[in-house]
Amino acid sequence: MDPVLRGLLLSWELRPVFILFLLTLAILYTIGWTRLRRKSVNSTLANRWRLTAYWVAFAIVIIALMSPIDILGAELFYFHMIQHLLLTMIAAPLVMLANPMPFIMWGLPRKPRKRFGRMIAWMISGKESLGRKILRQATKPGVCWFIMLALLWIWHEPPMYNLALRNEFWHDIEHIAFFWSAILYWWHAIGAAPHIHPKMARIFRVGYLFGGIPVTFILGVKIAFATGILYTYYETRPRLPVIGLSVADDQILGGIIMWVPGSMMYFAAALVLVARWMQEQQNLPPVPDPEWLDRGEAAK
Amino acid sequence: MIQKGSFWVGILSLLLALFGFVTSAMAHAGGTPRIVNQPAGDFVISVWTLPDPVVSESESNFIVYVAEAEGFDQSRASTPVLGANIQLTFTNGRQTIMFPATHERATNKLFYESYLELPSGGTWMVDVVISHEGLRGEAQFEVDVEGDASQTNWLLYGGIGLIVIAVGWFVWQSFADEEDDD
Repeated sequence: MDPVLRGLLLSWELRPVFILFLLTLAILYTIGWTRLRRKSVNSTLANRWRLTAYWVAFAIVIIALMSPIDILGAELFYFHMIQHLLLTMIAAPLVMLANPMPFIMWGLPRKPRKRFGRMIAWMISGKESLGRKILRQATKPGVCWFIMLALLWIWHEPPMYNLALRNEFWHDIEHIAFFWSAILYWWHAIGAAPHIHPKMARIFRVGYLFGGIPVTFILGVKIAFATGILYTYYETRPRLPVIGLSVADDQILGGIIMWVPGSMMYFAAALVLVARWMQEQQNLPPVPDPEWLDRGEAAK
Repeated sequence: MIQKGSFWVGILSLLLALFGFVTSAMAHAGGTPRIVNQPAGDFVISVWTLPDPVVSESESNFIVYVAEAEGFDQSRASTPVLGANIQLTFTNGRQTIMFPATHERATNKLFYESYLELPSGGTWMVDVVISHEGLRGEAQFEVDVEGDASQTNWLLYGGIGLIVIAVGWFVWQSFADEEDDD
């Protein structure tokens, strides 16, 4: 094998503490899933696909944060965009599809589970208090959408982005901002627990997903069509063989990745919702003939 | 009164959430460029350092990339030199310390890295010597090292403190309301 390609493929940064943390959550999730599956009659909550979604999300987070994709994100803008898409557009919605809150809670031993459950119950339907009011207002769908937009756009301003590339602390803050704002956004779009707010009607969820498209679309277009080099930090990095592009081409490709696959994810999720809604409509019992339909019976 | 056990479960959940929050990042940064595409004998080298600023008596990371000088064009892909011996020599007028930079310590295996602790703050001269298959290169640069007293990241501690207070307040509120209901 080409030594350069071999070097790139061997560039993993395994972090045992982080893997252990993710694994603990995944084990709690699996125990909780098994318990709830045994308890429920028709297994609508503890579906197999939820368990699969959680473990796939687990694998994607590991790949995005520890594989050569992470390492090459420091060298090439388009790899960095792939990493961010994996975290915010694939891992975050998969985590929310897996609906982790009830399963992780049921993975806990009995006593802590009951106490944790009481805390969640307070969030959902506790006595009206300032704490609950702040929590509800700060996590409204519109607020979550705006948080995601603001953080994504602010962090893609060249001084902020260059700072994150140079400094590990700010890079950590950037990833935290992207991942957790995406979790908040997808929480509403998917309707995962805890249900602090009334679940949005399907039509509004479709609209909410379409509302996500301009967030990445406008930013992606702006980056792809920028006249100069926006992220000058990449000019200080070597142009690597095999995967390397010029700084300008790298910027265009990164912008296109954010623009096209980035926007497509919202679109695809909205289509899934519409398709499920249509399927449900098809499965409804046939509508009786309307009364206005005159079959001549009245004349008889 | 809040039950003791409930309170500790709340605190434990808070710490777990905080840990998850922080570890969800774990980003890899490129570092502060010190020299970029500098000709050094038979090679062209670049060096970056982490953290920014470099702080004495705490671990810092020196990252080196070596390319072949022949046919080097900084706008095009360069051929990395792999398997070279790289020695970093630090001098501040009073002390001289040497550290090797290797692929083994590097996260990107096309680079060389050295993890080291400099004993004191001030300006250090760094001499990078590369030798590979009879070829040799050398480059120097200066690095300003801060004394360890200045390394406290108040922004980080402040941010974490605020999150702890906010989430702790919510946990407290949830149990306080529950007790009121009882």
